[in-house]
Amino acid sequence: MKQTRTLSNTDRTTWSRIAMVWKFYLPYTRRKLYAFAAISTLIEVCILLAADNMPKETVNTLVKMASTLLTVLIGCSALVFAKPKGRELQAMLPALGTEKCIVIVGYVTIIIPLIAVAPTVISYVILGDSHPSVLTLNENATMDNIHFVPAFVFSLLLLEGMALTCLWGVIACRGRAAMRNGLLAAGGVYLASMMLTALTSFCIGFYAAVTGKDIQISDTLFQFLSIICAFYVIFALIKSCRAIKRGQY
Amino acid sequence: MEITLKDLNYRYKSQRQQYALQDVNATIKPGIHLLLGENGAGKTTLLHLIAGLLTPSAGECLIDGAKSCHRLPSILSGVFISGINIDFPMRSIAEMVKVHAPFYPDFSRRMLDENLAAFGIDPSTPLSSLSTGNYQKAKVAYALALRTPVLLLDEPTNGLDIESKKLLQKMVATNVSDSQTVIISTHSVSDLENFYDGVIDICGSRLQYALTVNEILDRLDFGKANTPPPDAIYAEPWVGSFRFVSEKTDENWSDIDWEILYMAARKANNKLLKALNR
Repeated sequence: MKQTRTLSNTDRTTWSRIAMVWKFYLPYTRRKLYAFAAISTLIEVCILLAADNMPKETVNTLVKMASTLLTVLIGCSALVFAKPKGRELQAMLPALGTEKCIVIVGYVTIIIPLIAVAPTVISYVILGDSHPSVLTLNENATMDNIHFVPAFVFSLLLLEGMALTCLWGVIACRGRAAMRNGLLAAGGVYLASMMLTALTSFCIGFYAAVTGKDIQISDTLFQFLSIICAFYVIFALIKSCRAIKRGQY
Repeated sequence: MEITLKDLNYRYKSQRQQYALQDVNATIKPGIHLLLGENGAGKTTLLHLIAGLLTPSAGECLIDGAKSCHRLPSILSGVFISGINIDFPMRSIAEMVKVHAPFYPDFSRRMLDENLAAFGIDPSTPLSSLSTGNYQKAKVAYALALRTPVLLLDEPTNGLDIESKKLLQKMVATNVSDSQTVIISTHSVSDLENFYDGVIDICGSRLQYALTVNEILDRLDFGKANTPPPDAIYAEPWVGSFRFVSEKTDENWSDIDWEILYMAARKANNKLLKALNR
């Protein structure tokens, strides 16, 4: 049977097929996207309401809890791909591995984090520096002598590392174990980052004490951790893409 | 599209010592082919290798000269596999049509509607609410409507009642064009007999033969007799007489007795292969 040649079966990467792949994955992701948007909006509304009606300490705690919840949600967002049904169909989908990677990795590392922070960003644009999350951040930064940028970069890289490891765990695993694998992978990265932070802090503190140098611990710590995290993100990205492209069924 | 298997070997990571397929060499041309083999012989593995779902441990599986494991869209859009262990991830067939079928340029909505109507299935019915048999019918109806040049059906009659099996046979016969390569793996040969153009037989992870029906009928005779002929390759008792397969001696062609052929490949392997390789 001579097959009809169309734009949809060319062997070059095309935006139209990326859109088709996105549409293919929509039944998997649609509900989760709505849920994410609803949860992050709800969290933001709660924080804003609390800021007007509750003591500062309570608002600070609420902001920290909300950021932890969002971290967990973003870190585990790849679990939508843990559905055991249709793995073969995904692998056989007539699209390039690169196109599937763009959609799946893009969903996990760009779209979900953007949806998660969108309500905060919108309310920040409206409220400016009087936004409760910014006030909490500033307060913590002053208290711990932390500069915002290195801490933010580290948090962002850690989050992407968690999300990509979860994705790798989910894609590389078959059947019902995928969900468990994804959760363990994301949790493992979070735990490893905490241990690494503690170990690095100890080493920097020890070095400062021995040499008697005045080292800005938090900045050095975040810079060092960010570099490690960046390398890990690249590693997890390569592994996830390989799993998407070469999964065996 | 032509399928070429060159020194194809595959072994699963979990079974390092044991090959699921070993030294398979064959060329499969357009037509409807029956894939025979006992449980665990490697039938599903072979279909998954052709579909590009698995990468060969050694050797090659080529579709029109391109390796299927490279999963190029130009190849994948021409291959589809439907089987009991391949689930549709979408809610309904209607949703599959919306998000999956656009990847297949020759998909026919009309054919799908006709096939589903013949089986009495509404395309918008949630797949999760269908019985095993109806789910299987919906999958086969959809697979046929994709009209891919290579169509692989793994146990399509599983879970189907007698009437549905007949309907499926009719559906395959009317929907498959001469230029399509269709491989049907089935345990119940009798359900779909009389419309195969070729046979691929795998036994114990090795390919026994891959021949067209004409090639088999050129070399073998099938028949029934009160006593099996002395030169029979294989014979077995059947309702007071014997069914047998023997080397072809005259110009007359008989109908292939698929079950006898299958048994002969297992019980009288050397004699059968000698006759087939004449």
